[in-house]
Amino acid sequence: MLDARDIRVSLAGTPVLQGVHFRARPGQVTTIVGPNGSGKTTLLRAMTQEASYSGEVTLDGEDISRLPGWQLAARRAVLPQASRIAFPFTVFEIVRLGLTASAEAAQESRVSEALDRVGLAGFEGRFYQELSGGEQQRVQLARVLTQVWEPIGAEGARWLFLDEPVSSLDIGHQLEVMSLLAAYAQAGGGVIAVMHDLNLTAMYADDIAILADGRVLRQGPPSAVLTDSLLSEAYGCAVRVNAAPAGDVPFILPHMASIS
Amino acid sequence: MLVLSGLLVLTSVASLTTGASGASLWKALTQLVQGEEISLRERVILFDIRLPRLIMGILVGAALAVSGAVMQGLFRNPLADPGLVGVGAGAGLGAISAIVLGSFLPLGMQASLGYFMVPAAAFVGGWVSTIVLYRIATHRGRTSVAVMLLGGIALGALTGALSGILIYMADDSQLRDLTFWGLGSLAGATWDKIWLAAPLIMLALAATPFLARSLNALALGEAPAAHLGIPVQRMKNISILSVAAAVGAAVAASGGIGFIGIVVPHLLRLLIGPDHRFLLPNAALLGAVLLLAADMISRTIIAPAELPIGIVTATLGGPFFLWILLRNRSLLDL
Repeated sequence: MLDARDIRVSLAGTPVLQGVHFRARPGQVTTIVGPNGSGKTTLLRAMTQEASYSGEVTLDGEDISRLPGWQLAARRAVLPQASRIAFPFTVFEIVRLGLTASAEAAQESRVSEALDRVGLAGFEGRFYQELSGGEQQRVQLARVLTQVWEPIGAEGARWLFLDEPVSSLDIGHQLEVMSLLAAYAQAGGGVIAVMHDLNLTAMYADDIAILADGRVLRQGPPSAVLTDSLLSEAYGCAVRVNAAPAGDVPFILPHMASIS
Repeated sequence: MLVLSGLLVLTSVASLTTGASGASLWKALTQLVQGEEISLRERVILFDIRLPRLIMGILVGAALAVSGAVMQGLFRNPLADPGLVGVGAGAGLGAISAIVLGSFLPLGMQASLGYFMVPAAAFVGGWVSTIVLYRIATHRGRTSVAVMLLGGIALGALTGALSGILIYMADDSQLRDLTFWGLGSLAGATWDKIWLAAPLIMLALAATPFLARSLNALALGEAPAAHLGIPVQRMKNISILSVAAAVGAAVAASGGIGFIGIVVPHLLRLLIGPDHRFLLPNAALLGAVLLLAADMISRTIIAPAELPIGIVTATLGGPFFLWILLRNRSLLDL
């Protein structure tokens, strides 16, 4: 269980998060949604100690700011939004970095296994810098996966923190990656993802926190959060939640004529 | 790595047998290896001139190359060199102060410091400027690499200006000393200097294997490295202090020798890739090999006189560096 209480972050004097409460349970995909500048990424950065915050973040009851770096690294992995690499490392070398931080004594074949999972089998020898943005994003995901490969470790559930994990992916790979994350959660791991795409969120999230102006408007299951009024309030435009004829999964269409 | 070790042995032997006194030393060396007696003159040349020079060359070459690789990893920039942490400029100012202002010191002090005055001042200058720069760049326990980079430029300009004032005050013979110091040379290598420089360089080099994994992770950025469990701030402290010690000692012992710190890590990244676990030890070997080779050229090209080694490394290193850049543009793009 990850629990963030009364998180406040100011960047250059401007309050970005104003007392956010957020929690995520292992076994679920928890997404953070909201308009640009609502504080989604800042919340993720606070929970991963990249931004200095006031408030408290606990992982299974332990204050994460008191846990040593190597212990945290064994329990949670963090996928950044975009990553540039300083030197001409190969894909294998990048993914292997995750392995060295892992608590598991795994073979290097794990690297190929992870690449296979993100749809990049055979990319080991390629130079990271020469890949497309979407491929780079999936290499980083493979690195993060090798770091916390088993969803449950000796010390409890392992966690994936992801900042827009599918932002540069095409629709096929978006579904592939989201299914992978859902499977990780199903196996007992915790998944926390900042998401832009409300439809993917509707399809894969078990729990959604919707942010606006540095506050959580609501956190709960998709049925409670993905409502016309809440989404319209958060995003400042009229939206209507619909269900596709074939199933009961909601989908969202913006109503262009009525931007408030 | 084996290849490089072999090369180092070869260049070492070549370095021992090359020099102003003629080629008879090869014979002396073989005699020595076979356990035969050699003449006193040959013994002096071999053990008191060539050998300290050889050891100093290995130490300085390794120190510069490894420091370059560490700095590039730390700054996440393949063009970083040890000069970036302010060692070079500070050491230069220290050396210039010693050369120009040394004569104002009381005679007793001058006599006791002797010819250690310049290296000692260079080391102190390098160390002080690094610490100052490090303090400037560290805010609330976090060292900003960007601030360090820009602060280094500002501090470099300032020490350059101070050096300029001193150069303006210098007389002709001091100017000559200054110029030669700036170009670097292994000619002044003695056992005394080695006993001073070696512990610092060895200590710093011994720290670098522990940095390799961290430097690899740092290529992803500071935050991702921290998420991989790397104690980022601690490794920055260790890197910067090691580099300041190693380069400070190297510069103090042999003056300013450029390009080894940039060319060697570059060349190795092209040959064996950027993994610091292999890069750092190989950089030590290749740095030593290249500096010994440059030293042999500097000794023989205008024999019996000597060309300052800094000229050799820059003349060969500059064009070579450009050639690497032109051949590998796509891989160098960040």
